[in-house]
Amino acid sequence: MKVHLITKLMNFKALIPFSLLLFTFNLLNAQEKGEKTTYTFKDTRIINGQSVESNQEGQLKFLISHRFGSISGGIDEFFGLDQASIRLGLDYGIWDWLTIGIGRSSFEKTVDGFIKARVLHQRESNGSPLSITVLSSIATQTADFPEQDRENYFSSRLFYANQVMFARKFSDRFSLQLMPTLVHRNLVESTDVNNDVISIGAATRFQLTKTISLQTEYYYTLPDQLAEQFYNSLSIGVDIETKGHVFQLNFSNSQGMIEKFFIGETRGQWSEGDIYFGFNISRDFQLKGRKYK
Amino acid sequence: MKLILQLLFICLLTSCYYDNEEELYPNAPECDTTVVTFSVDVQPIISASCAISGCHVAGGTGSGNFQTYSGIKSKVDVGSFMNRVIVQQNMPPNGDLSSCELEQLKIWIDEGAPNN
Repeated sequence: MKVHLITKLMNFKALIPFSLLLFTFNLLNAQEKGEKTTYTFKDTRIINGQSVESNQEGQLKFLISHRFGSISGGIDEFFGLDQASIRLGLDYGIWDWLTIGIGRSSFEKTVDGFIKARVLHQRESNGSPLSITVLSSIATQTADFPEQDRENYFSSRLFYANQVMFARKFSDRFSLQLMPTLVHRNLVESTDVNNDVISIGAATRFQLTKTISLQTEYYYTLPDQLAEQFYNSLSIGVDIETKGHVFQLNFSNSQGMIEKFFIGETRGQWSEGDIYFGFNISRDFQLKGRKYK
Repeated sequence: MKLILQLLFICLLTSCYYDNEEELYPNAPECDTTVVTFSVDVQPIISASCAISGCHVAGGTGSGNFQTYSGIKSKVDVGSFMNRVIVQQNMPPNGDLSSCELEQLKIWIDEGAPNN
């Protein structure tokens, strides 16, 4: 088994500048005087991917996400509703700027965890024009190894994603987010397939009414990184905000709800009618501090 | 919190390999995908993993009867077979289809799922 010791060591070394970066940005945040911009996006998820928003300290978010089959299945499959795939997730705000989360997808029976740090906050005036959030996630499949007669390794089932999100709320009606992302797969099928996939995401929010907004999300994967059956992920969704909930309805050519799937393994094409309806619904519980801020 | 940090630490320790199956398992048996037929390749896979007692058989809990070609074909035609078995890979529920079996099923579907 090929072990990249240097890469492993670099992982630890990488923690040092990462920590310094967090410290510096938090120091900058503390020195800035202007009012923090709120609701760049309505929730911590845009559609499939994450937004710059993070949980408040002590806030537990229970997130239920469904993606159905292709609407091209027609009435026989009730336009895909017969084929539900689900992700259940719990996100917790350790501090206002640091959130951790765990989730389980029925898609390939995958368990994922993430850590998300809001390193810079956009200010209304006299401060940063951008919000910056970094995300690091890990995922593993939990189904039995299909090839039982060979030596299998737990590490072969690990997938990683590292993302930096840059977002700006231009007005109450419009926000934009850019998110370069690196997805790493420890084991791939052949020498022709890259273990690392670099993708650049872009997302927008248009506020339509006081409680309804329109979101778009697109991940452009740099050329020659994905096998030919995989495509870029494009999603369109509507957020409906109610008291204590944000209800997100969406259409996407991706069925997976974590980076490993929607960046590296999107099989659908909008032009072929491979469009999947889905929704996210979240419920927040305040476990620490004041119940309502 | 301590448990989460410990788990993160374990994940870091086992992180970042650059493996591929061709090099990691050089002696793996060849997957024959030159000619994939329903009777020789597909039906045995489905009989062993899907059309089993209580599942995709007459009177079973699974949607559709996979003991017959027409029962399988109807689920291929609406896309649900492809979606659950090849894309989501959460069917069969124990996920015990090998990558070779998945490849053979995909080739058969891509060729129009013929009764050959």
